[in-house]
Amino acid sequence: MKAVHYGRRALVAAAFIAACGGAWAQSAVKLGLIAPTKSLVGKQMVQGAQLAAELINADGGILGGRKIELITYDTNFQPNEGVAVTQRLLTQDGVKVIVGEISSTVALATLQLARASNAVFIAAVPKHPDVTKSGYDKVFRLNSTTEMDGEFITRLKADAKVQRVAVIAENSDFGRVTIDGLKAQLGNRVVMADTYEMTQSEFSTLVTKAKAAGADTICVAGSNMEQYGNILRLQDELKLTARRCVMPGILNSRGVQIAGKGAEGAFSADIYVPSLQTPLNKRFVDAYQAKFKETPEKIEVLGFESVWLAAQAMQKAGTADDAAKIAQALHANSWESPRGKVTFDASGQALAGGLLHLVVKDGKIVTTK
Amino acid sequence: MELAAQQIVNGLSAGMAYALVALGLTLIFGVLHVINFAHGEFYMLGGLAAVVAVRILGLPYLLVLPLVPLVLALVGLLVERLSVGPLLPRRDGLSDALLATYAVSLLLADGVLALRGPAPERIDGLEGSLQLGSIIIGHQRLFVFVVGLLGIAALDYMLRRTRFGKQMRAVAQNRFAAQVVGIDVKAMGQRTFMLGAAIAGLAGALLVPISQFTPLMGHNVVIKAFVVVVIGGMGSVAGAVVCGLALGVLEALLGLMLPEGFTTALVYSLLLLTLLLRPQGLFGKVAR
Amino acid sequence: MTHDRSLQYLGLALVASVAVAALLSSPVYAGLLVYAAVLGLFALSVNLVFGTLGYVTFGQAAFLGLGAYTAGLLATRWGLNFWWVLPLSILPGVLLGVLVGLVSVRLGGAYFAIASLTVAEILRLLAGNWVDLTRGPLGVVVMPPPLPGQGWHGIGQQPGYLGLALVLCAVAVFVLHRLSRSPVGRAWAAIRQSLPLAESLGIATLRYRVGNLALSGGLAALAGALLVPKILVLTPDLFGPAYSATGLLAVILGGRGTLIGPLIGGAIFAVLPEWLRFLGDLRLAVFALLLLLVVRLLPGGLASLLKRRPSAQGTPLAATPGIVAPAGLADAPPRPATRGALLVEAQGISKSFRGLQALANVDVRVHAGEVVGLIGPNGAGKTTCLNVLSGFTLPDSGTVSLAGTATSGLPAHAMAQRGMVRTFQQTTLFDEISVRENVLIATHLAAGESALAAVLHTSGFRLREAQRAARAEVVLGLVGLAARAHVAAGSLSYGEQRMLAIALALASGPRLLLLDEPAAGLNHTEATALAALISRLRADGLGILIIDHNLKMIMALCDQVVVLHHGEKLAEGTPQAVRSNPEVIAAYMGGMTVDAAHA
Repeated sequence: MKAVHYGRRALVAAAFIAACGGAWAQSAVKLGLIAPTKSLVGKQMVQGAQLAAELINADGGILGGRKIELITYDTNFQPNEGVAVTQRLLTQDGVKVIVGEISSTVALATLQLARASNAVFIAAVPKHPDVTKSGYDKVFRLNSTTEMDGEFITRLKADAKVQRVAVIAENSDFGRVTIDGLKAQLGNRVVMADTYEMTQSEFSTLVTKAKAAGADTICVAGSNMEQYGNILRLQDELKLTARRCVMPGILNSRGVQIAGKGAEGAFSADIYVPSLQTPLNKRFVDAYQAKFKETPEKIEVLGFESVWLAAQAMQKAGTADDAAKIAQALHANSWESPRGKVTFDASGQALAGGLLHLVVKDGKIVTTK
Repeated sequence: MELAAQQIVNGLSAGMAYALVALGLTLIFGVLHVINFAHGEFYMLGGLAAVVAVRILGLPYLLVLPLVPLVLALVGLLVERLSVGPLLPRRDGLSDALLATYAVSLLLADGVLALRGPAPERIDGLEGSLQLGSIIIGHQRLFVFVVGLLGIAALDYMLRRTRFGKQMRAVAQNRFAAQVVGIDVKAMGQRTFMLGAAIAGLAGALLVPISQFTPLMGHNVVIKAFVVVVIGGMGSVAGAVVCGLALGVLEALLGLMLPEGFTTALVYSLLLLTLLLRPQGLFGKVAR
Repeated sequence: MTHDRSLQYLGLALVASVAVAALLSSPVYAGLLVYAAVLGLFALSVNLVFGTLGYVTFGQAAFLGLGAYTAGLLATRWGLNFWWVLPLSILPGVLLGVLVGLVSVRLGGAYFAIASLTVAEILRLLAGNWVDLTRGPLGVVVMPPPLPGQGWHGIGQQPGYLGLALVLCAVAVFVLHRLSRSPVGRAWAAIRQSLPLAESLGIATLRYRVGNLALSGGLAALAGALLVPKILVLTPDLFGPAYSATGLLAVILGGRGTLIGPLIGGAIFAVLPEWLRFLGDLRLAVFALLLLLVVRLLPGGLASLLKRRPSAQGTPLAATPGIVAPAGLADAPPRPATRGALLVEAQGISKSFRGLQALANVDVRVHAGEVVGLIGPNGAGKTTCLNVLSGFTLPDSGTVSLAGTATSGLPAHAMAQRGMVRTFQQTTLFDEISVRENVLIATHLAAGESALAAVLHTSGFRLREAQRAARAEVVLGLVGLAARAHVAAGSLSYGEQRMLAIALALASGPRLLLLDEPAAGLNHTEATALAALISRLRADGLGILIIDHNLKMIMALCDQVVVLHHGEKLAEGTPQAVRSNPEVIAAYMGGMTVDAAHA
């Protein structure tokens, strides 16, 4: 009698363990991550994303214990690579949600394919307005657009001391849109507006030109920290007294390091600083510093957010495969992120508090009013 | 007027970099008749060597500078053995060597990118700047120019007064005749390659404090070097120097009026025009 | 005689293309196959310039980008249907090819490579900065309308697109194959191996170079337009070195100079980077290493591993019944000259090279059915004189007239077209190919040929091919090389090579032959055979000018002898008169006077 009783319990226990084991062995939730992994910004974004996956999995995963698995592909700023890897992700790897990317050009191409395949695309860093203007209901964008950064320009406009503005921008979608925005807002207070190539390393001509134009403010718009850092350094080396303005969204500590004394007093704005006081941010910053031995900044947090929000949305929608439900969930709810509460508007644009105004003091980026 | 003067000063340091890189390229072409497509990578590796020596080994920049050319000479030898020397005797040797150096260029650039990552790196050279009237010159830029001039002077002396230099010129003028009089042309070719790599490496190390090291910095500079070498005349040392400096200054002055993209396109058009009207370049000989 | 099966292969390929496109259900494989076809097409265009014509090009992406942007911009800005404008994209590629061909006429080797790279860079910068037209770096998104069959196998599947790419690839291979087996292809091969020789045989090298680059440009532009539905965005990087490098390296990896090679290379480049993705960051470095290995160890590319039999280049068409190979050279000169007619006259020719007076006021005349010898000590200006006569060198003063019409400034190939052909002092042949192929190239002037006729294999084309083949046979028989027809020219003995050089000159049907030291290095037997040949040619009505140092042969063979010394004409007359001319003796003896000799 006892033997049978124990036997039955053992069977139940075994079944229970098997079920748990089955749950543990449950298939991971695959998330597609695309980025220009060979570039520094790409690497930073990927690291943020990886951290998010790690933290989620450490918290027990989603949808009943399933782990997040990131499938990462290099797009190398090439739209055709973006298309190729997106296709691979959607067909071979069977993902339904793709996150990441830095370049607007690649994002626009990827978007087409995602749209054709009815997949969710969460663009982390691209700033070009067109990314959320296609009318597709499953595309989302985390970064602020150049239009949203308008607040920064409004502030410039209101500053009476800013009368002669020189703009030095990279020859990319970001740079050109910035020039257009500044010209639109500041009109003929823009005394010089020139672009530099992404491969350029010699900027003395541009800086000298700005000096010659009598600029009292020089605005730099470039996504490569080695380029804008160089430009700032030159302003110091060539003893320019003009105010150093860095367009929103690009200033980071490495750029400041490269700029040396040239960064001192430079002002900018962004949607995130690591010193933000939100509960999730503390966890994020500490975990990032522990894992990567560096302080995360905007790019890292957007990478983090892209995976974090995707996972939360899947959890809320109760599915990892139904793109429509996931997208609906993203639209309908507000989400916790290191930068505070995030919601999405109808076009998929993330709204998360305002622009933080920054200034460089003693080699460090600090917030200011 | 003073703007132009400032620009000329700015342009001379960039021009010196072009001249140094073009010098190595033109020497290699003169002696081996090969366009070394990996030359930009020598420049990049020079910068890398400087960065590694300063950041990781903690050596002072000024000590590192003379060491870089030595390291690059070894690299040059390796590349020559891999992709030039063994290919030249073939029927299509010149075009095969062209292709092989191209493959080496990709290998080096992507190899460094893969192993080291894409992060740009900066080291301090000579900080600060000098003010002469209304013209401001960064100390490092001045240093680049002076070292470059010294290097060119040394090279010129070597070519004209030393046995090695004379042998090099002999092989460049007539390989067969040089062989006949007992010059080891194969060794000459190797040494020329090493010298070219050393000079390019030095340029890289000189420029890194000004324009940062990135694994792709070689690609950007090599096309400009081609422009200089072709317009200056393949195999002409004077051509490389004069046209290198001229290109730097021209870019600086044109940059006042046009965006960089158009300036570069204009410079390239100049290249094509030269090829059309005077393929041997300004200082080159007609013998093709 | 082998039958040309290319049309059947094309049919097979077309059927296969449609079948594959319709049946391939995996979107990933379909995508890879499309990319392979496009890269294959692009590689074919590179091979046309690099493998066939022999010019290294680092800027083929200029055409690729041009085609892509043309099709893409026409489709987006003017709202036209992408698939209809696709063929239009060929035109800018052709135009740019013509331009590059004309501009690069004086360039070769490394210069051409740099020039091509520069053109591509200029276009890239233009595309990146002409924002109004191209939206600069942001690029233009192009979404072509669906083709029939879209979505058949699932979302993202485009069988129509795949089928189109495969079909265009097959057609391109067909066209290139047909061209390679025609005077057009032979002219390109000639230019690759020896431009001066090609010119001397009447091949208008500039025209063929331009034609080659135009065709190559058009093909690359087509490939670019075809690429657009795959990449969906036009960006200035389409003109960039990455694509140019891909094209060039695909050709090398696959095997330059073949048609299958570029296709293999293109396929590998399309597929391998995907497979190698697991290598992560090292992917491209490994690729570069692979390519270096191929260049080092397998210069013929992968296609050289496939070769089962030696190159069957130039297997002639089946002999058209009704054409009988004529004996003798009765058919050779297209316009037989009347005996004794003045063929060429040079009057008052002077030429100096940087202070050295090579020729001073020299007159030379050659008549039909006459052998004129041009002799003199080394450095007398003999070869320069021949160069001036044949159009290879422009004289400083004086005139050259062919059959009464002045020819100053005419390029060498035009001289050949007018019936005057020269040989070279240094044996110049097309070493890589067989003796027969050499002579076939030289029959270029036998009949004009259009590329279109060559591709379509019109009956006119077949007839002319048979005529050319027949003439080749005749000429080979004349010089005694018929038995060696299939040997590579480079492996002939020295004497045979010199005879082959003459055969080449003959095959172009000249009325006037200028031979530069044909007997140099020949042994007695060979020299005798040469003399016999020249006598035979004289009997057939040709005019011949010979430069040589073999005085015994000259004196025995020539009707007239001209002696040059220090650029001046020292004497002219029959061999006997010249032989006993005291000044001539003095010149050859080095200044000793006759009296001193006797003293």
